[in-house]
Amino acid sequence: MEDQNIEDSEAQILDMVSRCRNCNYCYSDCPLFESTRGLPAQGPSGLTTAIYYAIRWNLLEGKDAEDLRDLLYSCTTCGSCELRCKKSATGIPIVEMIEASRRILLEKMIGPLPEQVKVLEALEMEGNPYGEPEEKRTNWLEEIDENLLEQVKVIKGEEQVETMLFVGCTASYERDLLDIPRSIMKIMNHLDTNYGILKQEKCCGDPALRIGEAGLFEQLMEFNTENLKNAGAKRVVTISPHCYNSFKKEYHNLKDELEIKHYTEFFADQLEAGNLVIKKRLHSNITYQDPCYLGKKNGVYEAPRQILEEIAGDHFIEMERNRADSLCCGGGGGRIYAEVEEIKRLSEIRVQEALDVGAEIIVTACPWCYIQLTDGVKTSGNENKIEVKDLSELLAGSL
Amino acid sequence: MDIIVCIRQTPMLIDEIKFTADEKSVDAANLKRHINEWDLYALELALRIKAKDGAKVTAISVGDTGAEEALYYCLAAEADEAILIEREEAKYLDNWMIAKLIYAVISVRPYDLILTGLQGEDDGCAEVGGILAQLLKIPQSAVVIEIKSLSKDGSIVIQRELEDGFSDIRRVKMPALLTIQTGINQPRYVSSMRRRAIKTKSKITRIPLSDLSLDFSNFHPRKSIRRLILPEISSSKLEYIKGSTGTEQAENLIGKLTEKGLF
Repeated sequence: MEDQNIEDSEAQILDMVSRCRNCNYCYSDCPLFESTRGLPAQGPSGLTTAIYYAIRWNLLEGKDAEDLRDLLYSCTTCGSCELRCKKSATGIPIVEMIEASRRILLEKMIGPLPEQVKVLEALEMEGNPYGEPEEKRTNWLEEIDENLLEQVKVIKGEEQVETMLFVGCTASYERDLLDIPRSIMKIMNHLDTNYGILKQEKCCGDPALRIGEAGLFEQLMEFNTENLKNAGAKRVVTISPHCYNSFKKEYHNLKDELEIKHYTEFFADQLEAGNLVIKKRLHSNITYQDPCYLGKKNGVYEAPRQILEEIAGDHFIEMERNRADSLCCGGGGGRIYAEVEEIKRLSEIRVQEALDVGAEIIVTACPWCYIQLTDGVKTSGNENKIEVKDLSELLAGSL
Repeated sequence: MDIIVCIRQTPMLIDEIKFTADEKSVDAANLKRHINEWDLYALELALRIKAKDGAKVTAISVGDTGAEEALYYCLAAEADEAILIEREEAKYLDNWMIAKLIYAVISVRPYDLILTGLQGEDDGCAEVGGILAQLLKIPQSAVVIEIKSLSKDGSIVIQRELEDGFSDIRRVKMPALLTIQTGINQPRYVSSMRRRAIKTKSKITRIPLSDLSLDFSNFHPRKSIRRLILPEISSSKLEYIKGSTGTEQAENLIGKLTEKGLF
């Protein structure tokens, strides 16, 4: 970012923050405020006030800037504050400002958090945040039953497919999550879908953009856009809501040309069209964790519920906080790669909320929510009481 | 104050390491490289001294065009100058030769402090710093973990890491060479935009070997690699210690450890 661009960003932030009337309604919905000591600067309008004075008093250097960095990078970017501000106040894009501030700190070499540096290096060198070799991205296919592989095309060059399954980094490299792509492949095959997987897939860039590395995001966006277009796909189906959000909102040369669906939307459409028929119903009590980047960021609340109601009927129970009011798992905004201050883990709070409504399974539709909640179940000592499942696993098992 | 930081590019250890057919060097094909981790801490130290006390920071590297990326990184991080001593990548240089090339450039320039990483991620020899200090006939301190103070009398007080958690504090007269341990600071992240922008703003000073006042007649490796050996991949096995009570589990654990001669 050139100096002029930094100055322009600072001016935009000052302009937007000056519209905040300090009603503090946003605090009531902020997961950060709930999981930390609850200091004013650990909530949305406190954060934006901190940004405002850091810019106005020229404090974007030295120790003060590092303190501001730690505050800014603790935000999960879930978007609850923005929804509250739109509903009850002046509608300030708070997360947008937090992310713009992160970009400024990163360009000034104050950000990101130390643990996130390796993540950015891995994204640049290997195309994934985990530092795994890029040539091993599709190695997970070796662990998939052969009959499931008959239908999928692994796109290496000129091959064309109608639907591209964008697997994403976590489902590609995290072996504990292998059941998620495996289940989605089962359902795709059941539907007789003409679909493929990119051999040369790279991270969608969401972690880079959330951490403030806009230049690296652009590189990844250009790479994926070209590969997706070359494959002639009409539609991209994503496993992760974070990839979905990036394609839908941030891939400027892609979002208007291709149909972009999260897998829950794609399968809900098929269910409605009668192409998917649930044969085995679930008799355990289940509840649903709304992934923020699917629900709050993109308004996809009903598609997953439509599937879950079909699978579990009356055994599907809502947690007290659901849809736009749901609580973030704590994994977004680059936080999954760093240790940030939490007096109470968000994932543990959420696990307790699921137990409170008598759920035996917490279902989600996001690899990061899955990881966070699985950890939350373990760290809260509830392994014998509740388990975590991805929606795709339940759907594949019910066909 | 003039600070010179020596920078080396080393292979990233993410990918599978393959050797050349003669097993004497790492196969460079498809190998990704980055700045040696220890050198990043040395660079950050120099930049922090510059920010606090004022200094000119020069980054220097011996390498081919690939090393340019590392030097642009240093410039984008706010180093003032970058020098590339051009070499043919295919030709093996041992650490004595690398130190000798850097010496040939540094010895005719002003310097107060020379910083190197403690060791290279590639060969782990920790040799360049020591040899360079010897060639320049200046004091050297290794495994530096903290700069206590920079005195106006031209000395620097540093803390060194020793074995088993011990450390010592010493005053070193400048000009001096320090080899820097990781953890001394938190190296900054230099964004891809900064790295792209710097290429249009700054230039690297390239010095061909022919420009150096060195007697190349005796410029040969002092040591050679006989053979590189890959580590054996251990077939580790996870075993749960059985037992219905804690005492029983502890007894079984002690039994297993005794069996393996570990207890």
